[in-house]
Amino acid sequence: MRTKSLLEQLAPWVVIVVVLVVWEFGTRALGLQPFILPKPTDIYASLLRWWEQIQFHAVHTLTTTVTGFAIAVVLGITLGLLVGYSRLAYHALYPIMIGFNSVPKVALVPVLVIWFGIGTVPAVITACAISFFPIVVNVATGLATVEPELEDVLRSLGAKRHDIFLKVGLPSAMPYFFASLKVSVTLAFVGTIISETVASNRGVGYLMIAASGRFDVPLVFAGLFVIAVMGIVLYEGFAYMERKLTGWAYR
Amino acid sequence: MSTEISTQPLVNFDNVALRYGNGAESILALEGLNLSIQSGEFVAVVGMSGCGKSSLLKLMSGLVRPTTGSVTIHGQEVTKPLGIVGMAFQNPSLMPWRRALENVILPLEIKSEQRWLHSGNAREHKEKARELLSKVGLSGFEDKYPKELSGGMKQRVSLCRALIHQPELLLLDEPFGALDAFTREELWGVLQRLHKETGCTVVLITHDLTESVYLADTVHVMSPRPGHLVYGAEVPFERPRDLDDRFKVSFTQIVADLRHHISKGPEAEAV
Repeated sequence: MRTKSLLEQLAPWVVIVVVLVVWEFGTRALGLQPFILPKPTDIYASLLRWWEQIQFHAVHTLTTTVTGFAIAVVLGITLGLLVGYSRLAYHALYPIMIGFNSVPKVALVPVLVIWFGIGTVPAVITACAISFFPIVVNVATGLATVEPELEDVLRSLGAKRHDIFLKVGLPSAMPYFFASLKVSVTLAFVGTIISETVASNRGVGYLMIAASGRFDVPLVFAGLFVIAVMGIVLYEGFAYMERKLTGWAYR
Repeated sequence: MSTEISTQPLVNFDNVALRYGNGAESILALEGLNLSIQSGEFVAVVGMSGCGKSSLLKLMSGLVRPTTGSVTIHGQEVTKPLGIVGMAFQNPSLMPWRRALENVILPLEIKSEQRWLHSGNAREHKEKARELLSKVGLSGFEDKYPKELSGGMKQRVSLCRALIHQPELLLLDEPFGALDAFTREELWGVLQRLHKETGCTVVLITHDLTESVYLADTVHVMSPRPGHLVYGAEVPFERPRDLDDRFKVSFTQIVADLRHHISKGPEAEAV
């Protein structure tokens, strides 16, 4: 694999620093109040001040997200394999899945609260509901990309459908699967936060809603930063796994 | 190979027609096709693109069944894949997640799984594959992934995969079509050598007339769709053939003759 040049490695950090600096001096120059748009230094101060609480809520959000995401992976693989393997299942399930995916998940939360009460369960379900669809689509697409010639080679040797599925279908679906994990895990965070914002007494989403109720906008932004960092870390984790396990798919 | 002269051809097409799909959108790919191939023969089929040449191979491999007429191998009607064929295409269609050696042994895996033997003899498989790869000049490349190989190398791997299970019938669908002229010439030599060593029957689909005459014992010309054979030429040259043979008058005469029969096709059909 190609190694990144020094510039490529530094570039993301440079961009982050530049954004923060422009933000800092921009808000100072415009004289914006912290409850309109806090400066990065305000956010940092808030982060330090509330660190213990933030940590508690962040851990809660993280476990909720990872739980919901894990269920989404299992569900996504199952449905993806089913839809990719069987044309009947594809035609039967695709419309309803697309319909479900089109429903704004925020509209689902109140219903989930009626069913499961306020707290973690609706958040796990929302995280799962929002993140399983890309996995389904990618796994199914991966299965469908088997080259017809390769299939002919196998079939001419007397291979059955499930042989082709195991030998060729599954491995060729792997790069698609891992690509979808990266996207899905960040979506799972969105799901968790939505649910926590609407109905929870724990988690970064709850923390942000509570903070905005007190016009503590720096704390709201501190929450956003924490979510962004967790999202990046998980994304990078899956990107690393993708490179390790399906490096053959990349030039 | 047995010395007795067998009267029964290895492959026989008897008045074969093949229609894809049904209703108004169906396509008649082949009609009235007769062809017999002797065991050990090297046959080339040439024709315009889209004339149904590839369908011919699918029928022989048992992947599709004729709409009417019959295809027999060893006198038995082909009703399903017989597992006695090896196939290679213009696209090497290797599995990118497998190294060259692992790509080559795929047919052995499939065949041993069918016999419930599983991979107990995986080492034997690997040894065989290593040997075959060295025959096509790929010693030292066994552990390379397809993306690390050049087009010609990939095609060599693809040929090895088609031959590893010692098929009676090697089916090649424009295997050299995407290669540059010099690589193609090199691979002609490789194929010629492999044919001699294995003694297998080869059916080569191509639209390179020089290639067909250089490699084959018999060259058949196929008409535009619906495809059937309109002309056949025997190639008398001694084997092994030399690349310089291509420039002999008798060689170019055969090529010109074949070209003539191909170009005649569409005009005759255009009503």
